[in-house]
Amino acid sequence: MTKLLSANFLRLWRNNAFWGSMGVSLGMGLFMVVDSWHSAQESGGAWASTVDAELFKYAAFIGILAAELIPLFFGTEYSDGAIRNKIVVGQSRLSIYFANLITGFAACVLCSVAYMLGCAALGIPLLGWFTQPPTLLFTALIGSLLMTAAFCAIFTFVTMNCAKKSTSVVICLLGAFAAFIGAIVIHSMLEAPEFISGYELSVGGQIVSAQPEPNPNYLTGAKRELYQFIFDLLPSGQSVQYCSLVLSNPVRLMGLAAAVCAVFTGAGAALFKRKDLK
Amino acid sequence: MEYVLVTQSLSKHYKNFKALDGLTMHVPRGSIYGFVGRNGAGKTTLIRLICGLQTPTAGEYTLYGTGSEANGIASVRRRMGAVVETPSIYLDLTAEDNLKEQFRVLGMPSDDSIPELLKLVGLEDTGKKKARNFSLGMKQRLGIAVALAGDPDFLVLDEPVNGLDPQGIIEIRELILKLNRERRITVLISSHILDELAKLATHYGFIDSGRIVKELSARELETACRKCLRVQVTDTRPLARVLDGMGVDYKILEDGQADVFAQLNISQLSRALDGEGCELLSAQERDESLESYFVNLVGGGSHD
Repeated sequence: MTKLLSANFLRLWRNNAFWGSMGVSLGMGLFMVVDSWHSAQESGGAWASTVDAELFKYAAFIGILAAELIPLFFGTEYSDGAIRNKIVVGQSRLSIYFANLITGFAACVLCSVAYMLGCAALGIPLLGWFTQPPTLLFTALIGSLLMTAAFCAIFTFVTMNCAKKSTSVVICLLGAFAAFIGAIVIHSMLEAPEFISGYELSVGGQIVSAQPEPNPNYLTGAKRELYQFIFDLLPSGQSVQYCSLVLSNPVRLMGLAAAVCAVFTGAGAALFKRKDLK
Repeated sequence: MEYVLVTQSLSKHYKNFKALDGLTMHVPRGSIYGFVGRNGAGKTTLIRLICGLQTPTAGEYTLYGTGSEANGIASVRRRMGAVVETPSIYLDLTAEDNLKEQFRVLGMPSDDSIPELLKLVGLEDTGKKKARNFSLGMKQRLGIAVALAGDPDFLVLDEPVNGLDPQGIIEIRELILKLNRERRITVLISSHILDELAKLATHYGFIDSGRIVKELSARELETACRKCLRVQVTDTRPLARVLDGMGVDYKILEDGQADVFAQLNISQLSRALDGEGCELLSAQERDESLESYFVNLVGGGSHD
């Protein structure tokens, strides 16, 4: 597999989509800091952000970036037919699958690093030093890397088992956006308040608050647990959590990301092994 | 005879369609094996199977004596190179970078032989030009160069001259002949352009409806297609005596028929046979090309 990894990284180094993604990531890192700093200046410090808060916002877009980069990069092997060159000379399909998964993950990690470097390089001078405890930052870093691996496992599954590059790009991008929309909807449902505070305007013109009423949309019991589980299971749900650095259960998040990674890689490799290639 | 590739009752079914139906073939070492068949006869399917791109539904094949199900088949594949249908090259890379990629896949210790390989296929002057800007012939030659990267001794080429202009066809033909003669590479080449194949092949396999209809050497084919006089007589034994007496080359067929490979005076032959108590019933001149041989073999009907 080292031969395949060596070939993949050589091609990655010469790939425009990869360098474009690196540039976008770096630019995003710089933009997020400048935007936060600008907001803080305009609000007189009321909307002041910290570098830690900006650093993990990469989790919000790394899934979309992986959905674009992985099918573009590995879909080329199908569209140009180059995957045949690997199989004809005796490389095993499992090696090809795992080498592609590792390369895709490494490419996404490099893009994340580009974002973080941009964010930290500008963020520390403008927004100040980190404020969150190092353990939380370390946990979020490891967890978000596992989340990135889960995204890569899903998109590698699609790309390696779909012979048309354009189809795999569309499936991955649409799937990623749908997963993010789903995660945001679930997040808003989970964040709904248990009680709604009503307001009344008295005859004398004074605003007085009414007795809080139970929110009919508030999720309770098994239904809440199910929605929380789906939110934790979906890599897009995890990205919402890492992005805000509010983690429901870090160990569970990491375990679920690892499980998603294992299930999609196992299924993808098994399907690819049996796939008839043209 | 030593064979590079032997297939034994190989079958490949796609749902109800039998692309290969018990195909048995033998590719001798050092040969240029012309794999002849109509579109849809199963040529590309067989090539996909032996390249490991697909698995057979039934039957097996051996590469250098190693069975397709054996553990060592992956390492044996290292000895082969292939261009299946379209050239397998990265269009956004240069010719040199494409070869560097394949060298990495093969785990070659150095890239030093890349210039020599590019020169061999006539792409040494392409510089930084991306493969997407190559002509079809150049792409085809780059595909062959990639297939040659591991210095294989078995090269599989699927329709390598399809869509090429006359100059491109000549270049590919000369390259294949050079590889076979100078590097002693065994070549399996599928094509339905028979005239082109006739200029290259040392052995032929004719495929129809997923089965090998006939396998023969170029010499046997030449004999079969040789200009001759097919005569029909009442008894072939006196005919043989007469022809031996005349010192001409001939081949006795069944049912009182024989092919005589010489220009004969029919009256003289008839008189000589008459003297032996044999009657000359008919004489017909035959001149068969590879094309007519193929049509006679698989039938001239349209393929569905």
